[in-house]
Amino acid sequence: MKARRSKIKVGWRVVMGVALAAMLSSAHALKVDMYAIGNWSAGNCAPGDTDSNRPSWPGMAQAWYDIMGAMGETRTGKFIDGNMTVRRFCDPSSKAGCQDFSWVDWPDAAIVAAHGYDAGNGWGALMRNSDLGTCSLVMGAGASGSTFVGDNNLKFLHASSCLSLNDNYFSNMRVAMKKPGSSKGLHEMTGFHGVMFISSSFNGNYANTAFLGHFIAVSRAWTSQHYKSNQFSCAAYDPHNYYGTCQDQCPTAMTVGATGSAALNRLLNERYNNTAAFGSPGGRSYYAWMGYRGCDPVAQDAFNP
Amino acid sequence: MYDKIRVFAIVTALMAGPSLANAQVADSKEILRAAIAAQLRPLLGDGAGGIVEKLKGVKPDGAISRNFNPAVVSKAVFGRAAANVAPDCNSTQTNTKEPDQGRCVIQTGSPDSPTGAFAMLAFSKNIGMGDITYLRRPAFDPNSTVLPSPVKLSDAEAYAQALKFLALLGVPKSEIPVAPRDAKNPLPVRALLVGAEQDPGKDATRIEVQKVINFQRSFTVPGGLFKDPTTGIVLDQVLAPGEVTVAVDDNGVQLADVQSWSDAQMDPKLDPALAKSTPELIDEITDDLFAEGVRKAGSLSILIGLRKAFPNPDDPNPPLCPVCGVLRPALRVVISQVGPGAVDSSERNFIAPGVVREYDLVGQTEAESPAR
Repeated sequence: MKARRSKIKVGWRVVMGVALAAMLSSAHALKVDMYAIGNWSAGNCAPGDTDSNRPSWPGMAQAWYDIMGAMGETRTGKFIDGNMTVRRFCDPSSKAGCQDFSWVDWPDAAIVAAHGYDAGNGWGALMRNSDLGTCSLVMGAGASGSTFVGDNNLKFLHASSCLSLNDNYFSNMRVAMKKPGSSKGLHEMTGFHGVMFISSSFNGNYANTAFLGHFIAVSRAWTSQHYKSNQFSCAAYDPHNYYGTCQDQCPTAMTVGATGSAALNRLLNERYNNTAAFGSPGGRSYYAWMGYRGCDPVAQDAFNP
Repeated sequence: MYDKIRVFAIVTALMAGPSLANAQVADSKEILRAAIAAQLRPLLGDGAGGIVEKLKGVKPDGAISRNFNPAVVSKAVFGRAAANVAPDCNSTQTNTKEPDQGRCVIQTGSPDSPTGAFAMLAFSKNIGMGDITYLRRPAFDPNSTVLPSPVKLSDAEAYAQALKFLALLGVPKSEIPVAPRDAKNPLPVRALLVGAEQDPGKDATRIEVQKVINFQRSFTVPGGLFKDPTTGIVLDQVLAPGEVTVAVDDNGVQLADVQSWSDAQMDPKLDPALAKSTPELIDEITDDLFAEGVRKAGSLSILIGLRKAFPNPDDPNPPLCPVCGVLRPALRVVISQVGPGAVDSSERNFIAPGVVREYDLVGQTEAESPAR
């Protein structure tokens, strides 16, 4: 029953998207990929660890992926479990064997769903299989970071991952978003400050991110759809947090730029279908971010960059 | 008694000489079960019958389908501007005569314009499904160096604007939760904050650009639902399917997103006699969460709510509309392996997402059986 409900929920949004796609020009069509891990126990990074499995997770990423397609973008790669390794996410400038140019940095927009951690003021994500001597994607986090994206094609990176864009990462992330020496860079990254939650009832939020991101800034689409105020950890007598027992899901977004106003302007106005109006970031001297003041997630202090 | 049986089961499992790994699995499952039982028993006692009986008294009386008037909303949000109405808006059925679950879209401006102004109202063609989105974006200059204006609205003003707009959209006032007088946090409002900086903490620009209102739908339960034995707080509201997000700035509502605020009515076939026992629910929840990979309960929340369900197999047409579904009493379980406050994490101590699941408090009226 739950599965059926979920499919129908996403299904009507697909219908909605198809109808709306007809109104959108196809000239801007982005290449879109999704990378999601739901099963770690059959891989070698957490072998036999069924605790780590989250079978419903790929469906959330796919909700975004499918609606991106319905909105007129080109779905170019759906990668779930399998041989998901760092090779797909690391930049060859960081280590021989890295091939992000054929994977996450090949499309224009991508979503990555994987367990996360703070890799030292940067995002770490647990891969399914070990490769190149590591089980982790590390983005930002100073010298230990091997993920630099946007120097090839990627413009929008959505991280469906706990602790993927904490308020203490922003400064470090900018190097990963515009690789030294590259004329191109990532236009925008979105993620979560603290823990994110999985539910089939949240699939619609991923679908709606894809939908709304064609009409308003991607940052606003992400942060409006994934903001869940006071819906977690509530006491039974306090479902609306009137007595302060609840916690939040806290989406965040960031951009880089040569100036503060350039980074902010991009953050507040760039959509999936107007990337040409902004082009690649002209620098990374400045970074701009978005989040909810005081948003209080599980596993992190309240958002206060 | 039940807990003693569980402890006995753990001890028996360990004494029977299973592998250490198997023992650990059994152990972690029993720890999870104990955590669930500790929350559920004060909430339900021996079973869900009492709660279900109370929830039968909930009478959704608003119905967004009766209140939403697209012509009125369109006039209010677009004014004199010539809005384009999608040609398929008049149809509520598909070509195969099924209820159309898509949306009607009314818009001004071009959605694809790189920098131009745009506004859109999109709503379920079968409005009883309860999905309405209104958004607008101003024209902008991508090369502008002008910083966005900070929002001056207070939280209370923003909330009042949001309620007024939701009333325009037809969201029944009776389904919007009302804070009790002694509430510490009466307003579900937060500021959307943007910032830009060169170095952390230096020359930082921080601007509150919007006030954002986010809350879940709620019904009043006549006579109250539950009294917390520790605090004495009486809960007289029950969560229901439906959520709204409204973003407001000094120029008005910029985004309103009403999701799944369907016209579902209480399941007419709801039978409290079929309410599940607490041990039954504890087993069901434990088994399901365990299968979902959940082992630790750093934070566990169990709330009473209503969930949208499909009607009974022999009653395919719920009261108000063919795609609205029905409401059934349920538990909303929210669990994460870590709790509040900052925690250390690493590759070996990665943070798994929390999980939200719903469980019916009442069993199916009858088992489905194939007619063929």
